[in-house]
Amino acid sequence: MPKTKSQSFEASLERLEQIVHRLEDGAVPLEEAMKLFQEGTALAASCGKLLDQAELEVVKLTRDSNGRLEEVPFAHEDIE
Amino acid sequence: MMNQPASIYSVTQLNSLIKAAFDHVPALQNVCVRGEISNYKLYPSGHHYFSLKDADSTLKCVLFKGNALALRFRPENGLSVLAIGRVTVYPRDGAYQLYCTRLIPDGAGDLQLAFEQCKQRLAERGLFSESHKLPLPHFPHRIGIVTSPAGAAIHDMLRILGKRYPLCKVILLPVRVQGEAAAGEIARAIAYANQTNLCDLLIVGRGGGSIEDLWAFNEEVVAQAIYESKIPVISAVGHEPDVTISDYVADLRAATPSNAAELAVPDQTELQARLLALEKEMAAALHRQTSLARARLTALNASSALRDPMSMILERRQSLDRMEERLCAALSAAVTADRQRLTHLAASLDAMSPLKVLARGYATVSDASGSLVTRASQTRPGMGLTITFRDGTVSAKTVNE
Repeated sequence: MPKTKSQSFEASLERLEQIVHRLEDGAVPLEEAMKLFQEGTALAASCGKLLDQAELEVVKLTRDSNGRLEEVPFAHEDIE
Repeated sequence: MMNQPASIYSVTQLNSLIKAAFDHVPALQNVCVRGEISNYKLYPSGHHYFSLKDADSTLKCVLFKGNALALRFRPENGLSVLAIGRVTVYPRDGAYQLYCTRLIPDGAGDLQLAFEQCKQRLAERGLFSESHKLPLPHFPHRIGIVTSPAGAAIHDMLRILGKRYPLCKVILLPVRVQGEAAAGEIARAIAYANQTNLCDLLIVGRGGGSIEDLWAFNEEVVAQAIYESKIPVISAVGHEPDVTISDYVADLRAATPSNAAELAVPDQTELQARLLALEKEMAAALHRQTSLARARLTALNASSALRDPMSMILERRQSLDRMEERLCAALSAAVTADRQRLTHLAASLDAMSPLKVLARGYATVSDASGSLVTRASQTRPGMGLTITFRDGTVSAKTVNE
């Protein structure tokens, strides 16, 4: 199955937490710390953007003409 | 003509006798009475007192606090109920009454009984076991919802899921949620999701309705499907007070479908706050590290080696000078000592010089080769000799033996 936005969000968040822990540990050389900080800032930004821009994807399982189940978009009331 | 009573009782004795008579009738130990509530009163103690009546009669009833806790509705006058309990006498008042253990709104009777029986049976089979319950994913990626595509429930859930965590994908497995076919459809949908590994979280439910409307979620086939699901299941049936068998089997019970959506996913407002907090922590950690590095740099810059590099050379030079000075001093001391020793030796040598002896009037005799002649036996007649005096030498020749 294709990777969902939620999966990349979760992976990014995990990586971000890992970076924060490593930085807080203080054992990382300064140069590497700068790189980690940059990576972390980018991850935080991309996570925030994912949330800001995401729209709930909703599909409904229905049977096609051959009786096989397929996903079709399911219209739902727009939020707000 | 009157029959004489066999004996005379006290009131207490008679009431006790009557109570014993009641208690010996098995049918009175577990009765179910249908009637309408009247004279209802809830005491501060938590006990409920009321009468049950029909067109012709009334029956005094009491429902004690312990049993009242299980009530799923608020008893009120005029309400038609089924009361289950035991009839016995309250000796103090000499009145018999029904001690209710359960009170059920009338009309739900058969289903309620079926529910209780099913619940009992499944509990015995371990379907509600806590140890079998699966943990829910923190960040569901794909949520399968088994419910009717038509009801308000699905739209409530989608609205809340969209607002809280729009990153997930929702797959609706449309089923009928009431009627004869509903239970089978619900069970098959849950099984299908498992077979196809469709999602990582399932929500199974429907909106509110009568106990008959919700009945599919009390069916054993649904309970079994939820129990067998490898995908965690949230049960979301009806309103808050509605409890169904699926609620007991599910890994998590939600009070309502909306509540299920809230329990299923994290809230993006909280996630944004967490992201912000992580960024702050990260910046603080880096700041700590850079200021530490800066402090070290400052300390190094302040060190004399970097601040005054010439001082090191000057210091070395100075110590070199001191060394040279000491070397010279040592040398001259050594020379002086040698000179003194030389003078001393020269004096001693001088004291022993043969010239001093010559000065006292002696002379030395040597042969032609310059060897000293110290004995007469070394001489021959006519041999040339050299005589050395204090002030010079003269040649001589022996004349006799």
